[in-house]
Amino acid sequence: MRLLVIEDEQRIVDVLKTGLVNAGFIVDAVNTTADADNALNCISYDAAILDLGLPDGDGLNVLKLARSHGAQLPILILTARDAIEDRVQGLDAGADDYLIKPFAIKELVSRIKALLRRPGGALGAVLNAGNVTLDTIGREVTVAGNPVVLSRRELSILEHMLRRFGRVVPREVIEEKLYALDHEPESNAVPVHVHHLRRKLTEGQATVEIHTVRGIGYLLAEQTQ
Amino acid sequence: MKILQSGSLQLRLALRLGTVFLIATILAVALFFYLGNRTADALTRQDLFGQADSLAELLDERRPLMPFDQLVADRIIEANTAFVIRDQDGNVLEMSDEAFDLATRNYSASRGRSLFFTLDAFGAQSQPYSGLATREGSERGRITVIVAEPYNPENAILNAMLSEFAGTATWIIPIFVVVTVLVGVAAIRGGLKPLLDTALQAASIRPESLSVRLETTDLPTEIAPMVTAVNQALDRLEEGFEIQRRFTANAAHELRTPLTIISGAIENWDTQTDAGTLRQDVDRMNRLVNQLLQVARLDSGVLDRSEKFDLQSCARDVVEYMAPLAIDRQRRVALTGVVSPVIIQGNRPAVEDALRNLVENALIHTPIGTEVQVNVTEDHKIEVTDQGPGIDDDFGMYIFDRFWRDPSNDTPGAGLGLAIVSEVMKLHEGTVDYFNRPEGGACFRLKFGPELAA
Repeated sequence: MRLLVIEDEQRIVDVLKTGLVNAGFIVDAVNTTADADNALNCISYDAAILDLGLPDGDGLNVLKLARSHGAQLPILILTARDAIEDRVQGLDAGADDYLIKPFAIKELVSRIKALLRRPGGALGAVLNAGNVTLDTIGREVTVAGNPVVLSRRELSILEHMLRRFGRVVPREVIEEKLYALDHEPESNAVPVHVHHLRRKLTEGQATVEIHTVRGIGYLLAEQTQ
Repeated sequence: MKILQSGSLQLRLALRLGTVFLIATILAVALFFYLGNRTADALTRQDLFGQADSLAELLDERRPLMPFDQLVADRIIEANTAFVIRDQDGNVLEMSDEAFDLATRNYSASRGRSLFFTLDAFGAQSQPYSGLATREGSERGRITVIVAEPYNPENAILNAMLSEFAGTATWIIPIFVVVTVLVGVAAIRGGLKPLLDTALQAASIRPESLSVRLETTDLPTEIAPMVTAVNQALDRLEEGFEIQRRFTANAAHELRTPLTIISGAIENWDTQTDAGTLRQDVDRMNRLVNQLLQVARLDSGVLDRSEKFDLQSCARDVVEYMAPLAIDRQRRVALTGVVSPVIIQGNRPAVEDALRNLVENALIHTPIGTEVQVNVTEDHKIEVTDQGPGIDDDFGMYIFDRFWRDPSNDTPGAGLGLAIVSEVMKLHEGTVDYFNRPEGGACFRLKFGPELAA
């Protein structure tokens, strides 16, 4: 998968490149808005990481131009400015996510992967986390290479958690997914399905586990030891 | 018209104006009376002197004088004038009637000085007389002429006019005073309007709107220099704030870029043996830099607190944000309390900072496997409850001070987290307090004032 990093600080580019290459991406880097416009025009990248403060202009303009040309790729913005207006402006201009400097490379990689796991994204067809794999087309799940049988509802929940790996998935969002399957979901349907799913993952010796964030929802994360 | 406030410049000016006007009017009326009376007296005296002179002159020509009626007919004296003429020894030379002589026996004029007197009644006369005793030179040596006439009717008219005027004045003057004061107040009010406008303008200036300057065009010249001085003070203030703001923004950028590079580089090592501890150090530095920037932002006073936002969704965002970190540290976070919006007015990012600091603290100070609860209540409160050891009562009074750290343990931190919480709450006119729960663990409570409830 090919990513474009648009960032003027060479040392940060180096760090990002190393981290992203280690995570299995192919990375191109540019450091001006002009180069960014050209690169986005010529090459069909799977995602872009955009710094807002560039020497020859505002990174937001790159974002707006790309979106006006119909570019669909996920774009994550980086900014040292943590004023809420900047985030809102960035998201309004068509950014898919944002991170504030300083950020952890691990966080960046997981955010990028999450963006790519969206339906239609480069990682959208086969979802991966730890030793768990979900083929969204074949509707098959493997844990540590062994197929695991999940109900339709469990599979739907797992798919959603994989797409937002490492972040909280609100319970209401899962409920909505189940509404699409069940006409009359029971009040405790979600906890019951999550419970079954959790047990099946543990039984298959998955390296990821489902955590409950009481009051909000669930979170799929790598096992802490 | 608004009622005048006590202590206001308007009231003081109006009172002073009213008092001055009242005193001036009373003095003017008093002077008028005084002069009127003096004129009336002078007229009487002139008249009496004239008659006394005529009598003295006539006495030189003939003696005894012609009968009283003849004197009146010749216009020497008035018909109702009484007189007596005595020589230096007090012997009566001529007189109009004995009763008058009797009544005036005690009156005598010394040399060069005449005596005016009033007789309430004499003989058969009951009406008051005003009289004059004067010394005149004559062929028979010095004589004393005493003349008196009833209180002059012409002067009485004058007096009547005066008293009539006084009667009118007693009710006209208060009306005049009231009208003058009202006109004065209206004039003062009109004159002070620019000042009031300026005050309103000045009151609207806040740290977020420091570029506003007070209008000086319509101001009275006495006030304009003061307003100009205020504007200059605002210039300097704005400059100071601007420097502070620039520092915050620059510091944010300058500190974060190298931190990003360092933390990224360390993460990329992965296999190095000391990467783990170094990463912890960098994490700590990241947190410290973030906290310092939060403190700088709070100190610069540029926080916009006008936004209306939902405390519940604010708490939810913080719990969502903290959940992966908590799981990484083998602890849990939970959101409890109301699920409906709790709207307050303030600065949402600042409140999020405060809440994040509280949750971070709780996660640091509590044992593995425990849960940190964020509870939102309907009455604008957020409680952060943990299952840790609680707060040592000896330290309770210090924990909200900047850079204070518990000396009895060596948990990492700069001692800024709770100071930030406390300052954010102060800016929101709210409070933060804590208590140790009977079942164990500490509970920090953020209370937002009801006036902030929107």
